[in-house]
Order: sequence, then structure tokens, then C-alpha cells
Amino acid sequence: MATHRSCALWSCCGRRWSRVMRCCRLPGFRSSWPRGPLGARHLSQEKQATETHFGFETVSDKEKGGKVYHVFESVAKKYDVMNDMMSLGIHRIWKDLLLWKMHPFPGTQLLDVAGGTGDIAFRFLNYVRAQHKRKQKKQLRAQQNVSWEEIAKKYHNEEDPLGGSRVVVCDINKEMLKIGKQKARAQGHKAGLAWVLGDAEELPFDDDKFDVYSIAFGIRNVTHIDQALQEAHRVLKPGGRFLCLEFSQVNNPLISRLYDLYSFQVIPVLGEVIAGDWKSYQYLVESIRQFPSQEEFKEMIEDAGFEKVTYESLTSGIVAIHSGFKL
Amino acid sequence: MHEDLRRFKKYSLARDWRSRPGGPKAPCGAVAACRTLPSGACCWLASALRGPRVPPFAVARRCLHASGSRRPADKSERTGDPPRAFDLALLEFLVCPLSKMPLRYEASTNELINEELGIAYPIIDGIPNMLPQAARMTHQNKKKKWSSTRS
Repeated sequence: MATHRSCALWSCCGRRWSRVMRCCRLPGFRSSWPRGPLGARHLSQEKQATETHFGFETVSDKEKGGKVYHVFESVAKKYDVMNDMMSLGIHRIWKDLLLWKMHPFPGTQLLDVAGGTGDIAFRFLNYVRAQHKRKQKKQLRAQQNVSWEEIAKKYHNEEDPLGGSRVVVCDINKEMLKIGKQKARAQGHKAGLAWVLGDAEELPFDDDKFDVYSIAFGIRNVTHIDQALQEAHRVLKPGGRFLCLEFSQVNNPLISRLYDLYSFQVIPVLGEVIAGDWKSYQYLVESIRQFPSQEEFKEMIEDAGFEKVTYESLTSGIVAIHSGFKL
Repeated sequence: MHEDLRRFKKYSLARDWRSRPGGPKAPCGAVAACRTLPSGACCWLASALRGPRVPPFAVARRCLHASGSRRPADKSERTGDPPRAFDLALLEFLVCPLSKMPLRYEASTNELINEELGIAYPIIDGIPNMLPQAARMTHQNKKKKWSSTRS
């Protein structure tokens, strides 16, 4: 209980501090405001609770990062197979829905954090490519009295099938990025894709760089979610969109019981049979239960400085897409 | 079916299949059967057990693609560079995670260097490792520290 109270106190302090930080972000003030270790994080580290959850266990902040790293290092090779088995293939629909909500157009710069195996990145590239083709067709149709030669020329001068869009996939785990790169090669994605090994709490990107920041099934594994949200706010351009696809609280009691039964009885067993790793899947299932509800997470996003924050529950709340804008 | 088995042997899939560490993950009952059957049929049997949806000809095509693609990948691993080249276009986005200052790409050591803090981030397999724990101090930083301690 004490840990819950201290966690609540800590999150309150974190929220108040982030509000102060937001007010101080004036153009003249930026250069004098200290960054990095001397910045907000140093001051906030003074009043840290130092304990957090790792599934249903309590561990120190420092330990959690390493433990999560080991979990994903061991599941990386069978990650996609296990996703299909655990969600019965529904995770593909969830990710497609995220892309449809994002509705990127040619020219969008996407930062996909914790996107190791590249599911969102590949969907983004396919979506943008299809959009670009559709746009070209419309343009051709709109032009009247065009000769066949000119039409052929337009199709041949295809310099960038993505229309200037780029996706940067950032993940803290090298194994997941390796698998993602192999998949990219197998599926034939070459242009417009970049891979970076980085920490979501300390992104190696400059301010105001990306149009969309997406994080799918990754934010519950971050040790300090509020720092990740603040970094998201920093790297987005004004007008940029934050999108988070994550497991959330189920609203229907009957489905909640079935879901709990499935999560705790079936998933770790599947993990053992297919991936040979019971503990990692036990952690994954427990971490879902520890993640805040839709409303709480919405408040956390608002505290980081995002506006017009909304969420949409999918599959009766098993998964939720949170969206916010940096205005 | 027999023609397919002959094709498998011709492209020496059996060699690849047998040399994989741990062997295929097939149920125990099938292992004995696999030992007596020709290796190509074993490959088909194992994949059939794994994924009943996939027709054997698609598996055959995939196996052929896999064996075909493995060879150029091995060649590139030996020569070292083209698939692992760092994309310089990334430099417009990347900054040091600690100081948020721009980085310089050093081709000789294949690292991204932050001049101010004197640290270098390695690039492994074309993926820049931007974790502060992975960064190493450059010689200029060491020289500065040494001269400051001397004075």
C-alpha cells in the first residue's frame, strides 16, 4: 500500500513540475534553461520513490530497465509469432486501426518509438505509398487532353514513391531492431526507413522534428512514462500528433473475467510451448494489469503538455488508442 | 510430389536443414520417421506439422528463396559494407541525447561524435547506438581533462 501512496505522491509531484516546465518554455528562456543532467530530471530525481513495478513484483527504478531489456531480448525472435498466437491475429487489426486513425499523407515524418520489429513502420510505408499512387492517378485524371507520352513520362519519373515521407524506428533493444531490419529486407522496404537504438526517456532527436509520434504496445514497459511523454512532446512539431496504442482496462465485467482467465492461464503456457519462456510472458501479462486506465493515462498525456487528448477503446477496452496534439 | 523431392535434393536443402543447430522442431514421433525418410521429405514434413495452412509448394518456393538469399547475405557479411552503411540523411534528425547538440559522423571509426562533450556513439550494423551508456570518451576529451588536472 505504501508503495501505491508514494507512487501517487510521486506522480503528483511529477505533474506539478511538468506544468511549471511548460510555463517556462518561452522562446527567450530556452537558451538559458539548463538541459540534460542539470535539468528537470536532476531536480525531480531528488524526490524519487526509487521503486516501481515489474509485473506484480516491486523493483527499483534502475533494475526495471535491465529486466525489461532481458525480457525483450529473449522474446525477440518469436515476437511476431507469439503476437499472432496470443491475440489470435487481432493485433493486426488494432495496428491497422492505428494507421487509419493516423491517416498519414505523403510527406509525413513519423517517429515510431518502441517499434522494434517494425509493424507500424511497414504499415505506414505501405499506406503512404498507396496514398501517393492514388494522388497521382487523380492528378492524371484531372488533366485533360494529355498525350500518352506525357502520361508514360509521369510514371517513369517516379523519384520518390513515398512523396517525401520518412519513418524513424527507435527502440532500446538491439535484438528487436535486428529482427525489424531483417523483416524490412524480406518485405522489400528500402527507402524512407531508418533504425536508431535509443531510449524513449532520452530521445536522441532534436526539438520540433516529427509530424507524428507513435508508440504501439511499448509505453507500459518504459520505467518513467511521464518522461517518455515529455520527450514525445519535445520532438513533435507544433501541430504534431501523439498516438499511443496500448493495452488498457476492460469495461465489461464478463469479458474482463474471460480476459483474465485467458491472460493468466493460457498466455504463459503458450509462451512456454512456443517461445520456451514462461517468465517473459508472465511479465507481459502482469504489466498490462499495472498500466493505468484510459482516463488516468489521458490525464498523464495532458500533463505532458498535449491538448485535445482523446482515447478510443477497442475490443471492449482490451486495447485503447490515445491521441493528443502539440499545439 | 517426387519431382519436388528431387528438386530439394538438387538445391541441397538437406545440407542447410541438417546443419541448423538443434534441428527442426518437430514432435518426437515424427523424428524417427524423419531419420528414415529422405531429407527433402523431412523438411516438408516438419513444415507441414508446423503450419498446416501453408501448401507444400509454397514452402518449397520459400525454401528455395531462403537458400538463394542466404548466399548473397553471406557474401555481404564477408565484404562488410553495403547493407550496414549508415544513412547520412539521419544526421538531420539525430542529436546527442544528453546535450541535444548536433553530431558529426566520423567515417574512419564509424561513430557519431559530439565535439562539445567529447563523446562518441558507435554505429553497429548501420544502426546508431544512441544510448549514453554505450558512448565512449574521445581522445580530445581525455586530453582536456588531463591538461585541466595538471594545471
